[in-house]
Amino acid sequence: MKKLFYIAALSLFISCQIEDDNAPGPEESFIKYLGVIADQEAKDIEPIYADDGVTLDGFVIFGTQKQADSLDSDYYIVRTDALGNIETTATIDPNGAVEGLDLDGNDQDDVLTGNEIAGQIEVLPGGGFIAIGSTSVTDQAKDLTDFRFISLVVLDAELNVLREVTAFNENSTRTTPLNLEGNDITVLSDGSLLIVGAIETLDGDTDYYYRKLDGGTDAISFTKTLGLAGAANDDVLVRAFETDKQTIALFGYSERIGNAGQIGTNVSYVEVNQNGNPTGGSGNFGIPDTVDASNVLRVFNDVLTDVVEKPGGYMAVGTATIDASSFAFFMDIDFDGISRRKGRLLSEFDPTLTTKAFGVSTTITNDFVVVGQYTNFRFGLEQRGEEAMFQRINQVGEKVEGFESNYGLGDGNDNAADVITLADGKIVVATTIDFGGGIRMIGLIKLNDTGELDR
Amino acid sequence: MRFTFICLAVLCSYVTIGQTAQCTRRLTDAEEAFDQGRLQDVLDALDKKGAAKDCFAAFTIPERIRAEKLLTKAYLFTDNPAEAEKSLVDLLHVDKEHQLAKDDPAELHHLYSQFKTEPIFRVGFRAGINKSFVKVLQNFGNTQVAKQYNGAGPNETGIGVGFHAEALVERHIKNGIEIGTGFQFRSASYEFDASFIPGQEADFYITGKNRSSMLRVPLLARYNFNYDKKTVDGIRLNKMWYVFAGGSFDYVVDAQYLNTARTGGTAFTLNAPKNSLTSAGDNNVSQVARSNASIFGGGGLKIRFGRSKVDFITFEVRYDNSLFNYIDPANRYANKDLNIDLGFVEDDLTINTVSISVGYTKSFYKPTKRKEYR
Repeated sequence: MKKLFYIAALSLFISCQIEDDNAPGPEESFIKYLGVIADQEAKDIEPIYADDGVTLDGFVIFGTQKQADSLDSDYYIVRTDALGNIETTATIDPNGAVEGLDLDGNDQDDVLTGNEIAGQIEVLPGGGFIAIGSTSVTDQAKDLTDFRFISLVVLDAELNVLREVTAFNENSTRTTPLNLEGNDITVLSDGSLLIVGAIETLDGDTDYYYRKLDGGTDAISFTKTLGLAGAANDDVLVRAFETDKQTIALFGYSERIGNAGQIGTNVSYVEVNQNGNPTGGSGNFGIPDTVDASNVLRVFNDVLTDVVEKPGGYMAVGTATIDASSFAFFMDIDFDGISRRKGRLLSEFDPTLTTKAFGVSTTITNDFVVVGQYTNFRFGLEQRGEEAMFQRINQVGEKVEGFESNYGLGDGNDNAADVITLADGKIVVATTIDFGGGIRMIGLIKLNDTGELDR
Repeated sequence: MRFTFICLAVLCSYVTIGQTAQCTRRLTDAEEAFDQGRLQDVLDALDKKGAAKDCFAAFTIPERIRAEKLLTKAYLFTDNPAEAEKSLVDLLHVDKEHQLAKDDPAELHHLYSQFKTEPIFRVGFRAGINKSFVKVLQNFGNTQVAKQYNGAGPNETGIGVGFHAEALVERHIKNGIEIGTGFQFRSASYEFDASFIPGQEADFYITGKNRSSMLRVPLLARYNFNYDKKTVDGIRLNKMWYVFAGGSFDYVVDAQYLNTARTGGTAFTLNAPKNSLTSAGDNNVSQVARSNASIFGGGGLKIRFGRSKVDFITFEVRYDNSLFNYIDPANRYANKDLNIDLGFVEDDLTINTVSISVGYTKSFYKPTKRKEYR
């Protein structure tokens, strides 16, 4: 009897846990915060697949970061595993030597450092990454205020910098420094790289800018600009796609007067060939104007932020602004550059909630997830300031009811920057979460197919 | 009036003192008569009628024990077993588990063996403090750093101390084996330190305490070493070591986060009512599994206590091993203030505790004749 009791007592110190076989895997959560204590901002997220092209290896997130002891913000890139756990990070402050730029006329390349502004990141075939953005320089000694040039970095799979490439507006002079911004980079089927952005002109406006580089040598194949002359006609390229016809579809927004009957800023589309010359396909699209109670025409200014390919064309999203209000919008554009459907994405919580759209992705059921921000979220008694926004629409732009959700701290300036969808239907969003006190962190949020936080 | 009262009081006390002395003399005379074989004189002196009855009420406890025992022996030797049994029962009521001396008559030993003299049950009360040990079943976290518990992390937290109290009904089966059941109220807590960033754990983190109040129904078996052992003089051992093991059904009555806050950024504290785990979120769901089960074991020391030495003071050490997840996974994210504003997500875990207790066990008796002798 004594022995029995001893054995019973000892057995308590051996693991006696009855575990649930259906419990989820370890280290899972609906959100993972990435990075260090700093002011971070997410901009783009891309999935990383194994060599088979099917198995998800992880994610790469591109944004910016400014630490307390830094003078300016730098590119911040994070590579994670498929659960969102950090594998490696890179903080990149381009060395500032802008080859060929000599604003001060001393026959030496200018060395300029400033705030990096993240654009997009691409996963390179065979591993590695290429990221593009702009550097904004404010330097009183050099008489520069928000002077921008393109900063591009090429990294290996471990986020080691292989090379940095800069490009500046060659019309710049010391007295007239002109900006050049890079917004997107696309790897074309021949291995070359296409940069798109905006270039400041001597007219005082910006024009579309796109440059093709050799993928291996960075040699420039062509540099093109397109746009309507005039100070009130800013044209900015945001995205580029290579079509099945081997042409290139360019998307952006342009502020122009009297263009095809649309006024204000509108989404624009231009098709060019592999040499960068327009093929004739083009279009401008705007959210329909409204007339207010006083019979005054109210015009939306529509700024494009993201585009995704879809069967038969593209789905574009952005933010339509009118007076002090803003609303996320969608535009369904076909391969011929014709807008089939477009409209504002009004919130199910409250249609008057002001929103912005920053990213779009196609789901496994060919719907679209649109992410962005509520600029001042309120619902019932809930007031939560700026919140990340998640919405879903079908192929014809109709809202998928019940999907819409918000995320963020009650007091912070939170947003959802970009979104991707996985083969299992799960949705992964790169967000910026504001903890206050100068701390903003990049967060990786996972949603299930119905828009709920994945658990 | 007051003088009269005082006189009466003095008179009464003299009468009482006088009566007590008289009864004591009656007892000693009866003992002397027994030794001389004058059994009828013993019965006359202690037959619980008239003056004898008054004396039984006036006897001290030791005198009462002597008197009842003497009366029992006298009835035995005058072939009056019925009265002998009554006297023995009266003796056992006065002196629980009365221990016969070796030189007591064989007839008395024989009569004694026909009766149940052990307690029909015992009631034990224990109270003490406990310290929790968290066993993580699965990590869930929105940071890159695993949570640390009960002071293991770099930021200041407590070690997870609580308290408990229980009441058990116990019964001895045989050979020192007892079984018991009852109720326990246990307040247990664990404290956590959740940092956001590796290498910067002291700059941006969440600390807090999870405190649960449980009502538990234990069922245990206890083995007492040397339960019936006596000294060479026939005296029971004053101390008894024991070990025990059992299981319990546990019900979480309430669970709360206390002193739970984020440091770094704009500080955020989880305040009531958002700090409740049993009524969380918009739908007032429970984030903890309300029902659970545990197994436990331990050991202790009983020290005999009381005049009859049949009650015990107990000192006990015990380990409780919870079997199932403390957290309800279905409601892990039910509290937005917790998960989003604070930035905290619970792991799947069990709460195991080590506790020390001090207690008191009282024995209850009903001396009756054993079945086989009825």
